[in-house]
Amino acid sequence: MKSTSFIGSGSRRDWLILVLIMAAALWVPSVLNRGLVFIAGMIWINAVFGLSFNLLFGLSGVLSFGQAMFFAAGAYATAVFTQQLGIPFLLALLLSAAVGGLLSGLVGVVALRRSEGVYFAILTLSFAELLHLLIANTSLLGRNDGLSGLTRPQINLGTWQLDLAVGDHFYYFIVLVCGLLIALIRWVIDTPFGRALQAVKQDPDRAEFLGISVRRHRLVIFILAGATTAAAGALVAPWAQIVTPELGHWSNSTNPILYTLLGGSAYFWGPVLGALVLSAVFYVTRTLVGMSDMVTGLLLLVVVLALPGGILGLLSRWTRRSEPAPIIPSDSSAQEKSL
Amino acid sequence: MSTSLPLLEATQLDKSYGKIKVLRDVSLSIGAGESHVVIGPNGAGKTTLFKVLTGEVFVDKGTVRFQGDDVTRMPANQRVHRGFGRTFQVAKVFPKLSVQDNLWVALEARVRKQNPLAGVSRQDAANFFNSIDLLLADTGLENYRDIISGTLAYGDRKRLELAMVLALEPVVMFLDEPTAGMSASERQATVQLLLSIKRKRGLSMLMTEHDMDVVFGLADRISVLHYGQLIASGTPEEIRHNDSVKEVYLGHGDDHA
Repeated sequence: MKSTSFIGSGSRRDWLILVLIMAAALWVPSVLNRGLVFIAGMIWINAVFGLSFNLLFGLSGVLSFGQAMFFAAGAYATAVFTQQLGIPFLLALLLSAAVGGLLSGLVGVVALRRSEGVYFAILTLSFAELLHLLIANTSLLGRNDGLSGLTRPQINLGTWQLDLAVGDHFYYFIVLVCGLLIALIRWVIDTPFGRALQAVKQDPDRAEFLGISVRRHRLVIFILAGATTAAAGALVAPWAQIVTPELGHWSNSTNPILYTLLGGSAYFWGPVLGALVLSAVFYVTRTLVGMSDMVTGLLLLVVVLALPGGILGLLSRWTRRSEPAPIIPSDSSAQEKSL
Repeated sequence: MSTSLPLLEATQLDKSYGKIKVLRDVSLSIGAGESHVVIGPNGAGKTTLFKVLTGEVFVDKGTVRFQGDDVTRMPANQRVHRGFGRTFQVAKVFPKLSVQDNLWVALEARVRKQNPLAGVSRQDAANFFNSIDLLLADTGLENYRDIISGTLAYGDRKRLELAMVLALEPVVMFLDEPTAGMSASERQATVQLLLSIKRKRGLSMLMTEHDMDVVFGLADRISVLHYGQLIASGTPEEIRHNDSVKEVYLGHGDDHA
């Protein structure tokens, strides 16, 4: 389709950006120290976390306040699958994504049945807290201490072997997997399913009376976002080599929201930029003990009050001529309506 | 379809919201190719009748049959794929999408049924451009193709909504106040538009309408709803001369117009 008003049509530019940032990311280990390489890996993981959230919020008008449960589920699933059950890593990764999909399916069937908007947000928050408590009280999962000493895996494909524990191998693996997940998320937006979700967000009644099953569409995108979130979480386990119940804490559910609002929910790359900027802020303020929460809070205040379109919204206002294709026109009233 | 069987048949519908009985024992039918207008004062239950017939809400009692099948408990989106089309009293379109893309959503929805995972074939997508041309021509929106629909004038938005519903190739159209909020000239144009659509496509229509010129300009059959009960149903001539209708409604029809 040429010149359309759909979000995410004409994706060539975004593919190019993805390839460029992946290429740039490959340079990171050769120029930065180990600590920063670790942070770079976390930014990739958090970018997928944020993009998955925005698949719900920005594209479909579904506000989930419990995405940390899928992140934690993915992380714990990988830890258990690889360390306790000895399942090969790549398979464990796929299974962890499936666990996220299954869990979001269960939550979605219950929460989407009767609730919308704020009620849905509260319900997802409740489910996430439930899972958080469950993890923190299960001895098999290490209770409050979590599971530590996780080893980075090897990949064995027939005769071909790759030891991800060596050097920066796992970092490159993260870049590759997150790049693929970002590509998947980008692709979904520009499908008939993605367009139907945009319709559902803009007017669910009209969508229903065009024969679009609003509930099923919301459920499927919720499951997809749950699976990609869990896949991101699954990468954390071997990367940080420890998983703790904190991953499922409600405050971790606010992270993708923060990335999205900071970067700009109306832009595909908004959550990615938000994750990058927030990580940079945390890094700079890391020595100020106890300050990071305050910085986060202040940043959120500034964004909500002064930058309703996020950083990309601000940039696009400054550089009128080369406007980043908005994935949603930055009209905050329309978003409020759909919540 | 045999002419003896009505296309849509609603039998003894009851619907309450809490203690308020909004519909009481309402029965009505639509024949193939018939345009049936439901009139009644504000609060008579017209919109609720629309909602239960289209599946937005379900009745407490009674049945709705369509082409011989019981659809009483069928969700709205499934009824659409059986051939139900519906417009709203205040036109609902996708405000951030262009006119063309609003129609595109409708065309894709029709092909995909209710399946979120269903795609659209290249062949179908190629045909959509043709369909959009025809729909825009039919509704007089040719010059608005790339306009973002949220910025359209109200009457144009209503026509776009109509075009979106026509894109579904419905068997029966439910039009809730198709001329509400329009000027006199727009109203006339809408009557002409609906008559030509009906002629061209042989559609059945169920409408609610306040404006008596529109009602008598379009109706093959008129039913009168009063406090949730159907007090009369017949041809326009019969209704015009029905004493009880005159008393409750047409007598001071001007007040309600």
